[in-house]
Amino acid sequence: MSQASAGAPDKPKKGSKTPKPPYVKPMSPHLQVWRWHVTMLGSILHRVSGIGLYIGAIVVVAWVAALAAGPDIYAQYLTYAANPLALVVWVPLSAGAFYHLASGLRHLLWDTGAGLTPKTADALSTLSIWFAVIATIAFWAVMYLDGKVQL
Amino acid sequence: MSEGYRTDRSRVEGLGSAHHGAGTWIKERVSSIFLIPLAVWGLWSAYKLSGTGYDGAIAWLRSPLHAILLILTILLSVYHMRLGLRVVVEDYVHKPFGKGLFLLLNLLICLLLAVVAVFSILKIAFGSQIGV
Repeated sequence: MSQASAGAPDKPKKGSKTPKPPYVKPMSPHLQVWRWHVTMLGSILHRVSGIGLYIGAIVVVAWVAALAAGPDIYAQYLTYAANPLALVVWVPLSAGAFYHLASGLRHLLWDTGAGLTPKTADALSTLSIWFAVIATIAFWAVMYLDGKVQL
Repeated sequence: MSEGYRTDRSRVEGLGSAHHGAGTWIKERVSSIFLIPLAVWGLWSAYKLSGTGYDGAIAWLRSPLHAILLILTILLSVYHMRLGLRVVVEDYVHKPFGKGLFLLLNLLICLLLAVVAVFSILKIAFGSQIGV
């Protein structure tokens, strides 16, 4: 909400043009006010992984564009993408994809009205996080064992 | 409905519900439902494709099924992430100029990604890429 819409502010005293902050305004609870709990962590990770996947989409479209541009440009793309250092990008991206997928399923379930008791909601959030951790490790372990990743 | 309770000032400012929140909410959910199988397929394809080089990737994308699924995956992803990032911008950027700028950038990036991806995929799938 913009400041102009915050209803009637305190009346300015005679002589002063506009009321100066700090106004006495109600505070909205935010990250630094809440006690940490797992549904909150799950929500934050959902948003962070969503933003990460936005970058991932750019990387994937760059891949297909490089492929369409021919072997020379594609070879250039691979010098970056197939570099062991690129794992710093690929591993978090895959983790983000696994997490956003699991966490998204959790949200779709919640949207039906199910699974919203504190106990179940906590369990679903913990499960999403563990699914992402285990799936990411499994994915890259298989990639490594298949010789697709050399360190 | 609640119009009778609004003050003149609040009507002029035009803030408050735009009355299409439910539609946006449903669009985000519907795209996410389609993206469940497509994301799994995308991760599986990433695994299959890695290490196959230029020829392997071209051969893979020459398959009509792969080309169609990849176009679907990218278009739905771009649609979904435009809606998602829009909410992020609206949550954190409150000044009209900055908010408008980021929302426009979001739209521009998503449009560009969609067009570049579809063009590239079709170019390969129809077999007119350089060098082969």
